[in-house]
Amino acid sequence: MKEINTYDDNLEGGELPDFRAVNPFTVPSDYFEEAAAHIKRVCQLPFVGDDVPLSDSSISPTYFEDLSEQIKLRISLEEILSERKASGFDIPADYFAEAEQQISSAVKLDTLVGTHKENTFQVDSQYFDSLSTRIKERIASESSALENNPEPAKVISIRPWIKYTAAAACLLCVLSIGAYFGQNSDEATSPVVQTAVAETSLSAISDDELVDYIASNNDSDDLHYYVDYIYASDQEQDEDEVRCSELEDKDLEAYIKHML
Amino acid sequence: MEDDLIIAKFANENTREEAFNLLLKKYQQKIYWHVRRMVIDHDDADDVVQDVFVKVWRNLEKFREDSQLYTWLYRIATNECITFLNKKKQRQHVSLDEEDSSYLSSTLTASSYFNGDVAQMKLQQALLKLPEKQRLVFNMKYFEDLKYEEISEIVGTSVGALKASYHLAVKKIELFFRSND
Repeated sequence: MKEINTYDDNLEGGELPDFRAVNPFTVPSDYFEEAAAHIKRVCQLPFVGDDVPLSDSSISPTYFEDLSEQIKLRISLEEILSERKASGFDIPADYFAEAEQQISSAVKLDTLVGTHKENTFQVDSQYFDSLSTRIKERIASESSALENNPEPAKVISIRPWIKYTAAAACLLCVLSIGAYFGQNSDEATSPVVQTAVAETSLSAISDDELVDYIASNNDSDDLHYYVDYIYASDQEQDEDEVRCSELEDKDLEAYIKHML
Repeated sequence: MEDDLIIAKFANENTREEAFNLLLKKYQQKIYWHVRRMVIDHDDADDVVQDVFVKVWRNLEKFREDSQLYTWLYRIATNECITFLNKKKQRQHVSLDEEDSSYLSSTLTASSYFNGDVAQMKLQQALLKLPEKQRLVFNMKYFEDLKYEEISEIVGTSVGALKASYHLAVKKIELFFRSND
């Protein structure tokens, strides 16, 4: 029995029936009218000779004039952003080495004494209530004491200066008077007698004190001569005096005046 | 109250006492604990704190605002502590060149105002083995949470040196704990 199939009944000359040529799909109304403008907006490209006017609301009238400037700005921004990505934040020099130390210290302390740093010292509960009062009372009492008994003039101890001044005076006397009068000696003012007097005065002062004084108060090149003199034996000192006798009187006078 | 307001009030004779009260209220406890950790004994700390604030009263008018008020206070307190400890050393016939504070160990163990556990007592004993300045830096950093920049302003040492000092202090403390286990 032959199946009745009407599918190709009208397929004459290979053509589909008319009803099959109808498009079953539909589009929104005005789709094709708007499609071109829509595509252009997406592509952001102008269509030369297109019937869509350039005054379309999506494109600024000065768009093309500003475009190159916008591109340059965008490039600059990208450059800045890329630099920030590399080093957006700064850190102190040696930060990581120091941080490692600090973290290591914190961990050690936590291990040794625990994480709590509470105050282990104590005071009476009322202590701080009274502390302010006691401080103010003390200030008041000290102020009134000061008013009643004005502060005496400040006394500056001069003992070290007396000691060093005496040392200096004696030393210079020995060196200068001994040398100066040594050349003008007569029986009444024998240098031996004067040196003996000076040595008696100096005997109370130790050699170390003399050297300390000279070192701290004399910046002349004569320092080592003084020191040599102080530590020299009697025989050497006698020889020095002989050498001194060869100096001119006026030179010695000028030197002594300069030093004193 | 802000420090600059306290200073401004102190500059005015009519509000000077009010300003000093505010300053005492704001700083007396901080200064006390700073001093106490250094001198250990409560009565000694009480004396030193009074000395500190008497000096503050006398000199606040001359305070130049080129530093923070609290760092200035800490500096006075620190100097008073060091002066006090030097006097204490002399009284106990301890050489001033003695670097650590072992002479305060007996004060620590005899103190009735200490409520720390064994580890905390050991920490204090370890701290007394440090040189005074290192102990000072450790206290300010560890217990008082001061920044290195602030400590630098108080003790006049560079931040780098303070960091190194703190790290060294921790190493010494660790060594003390190990050798006293």
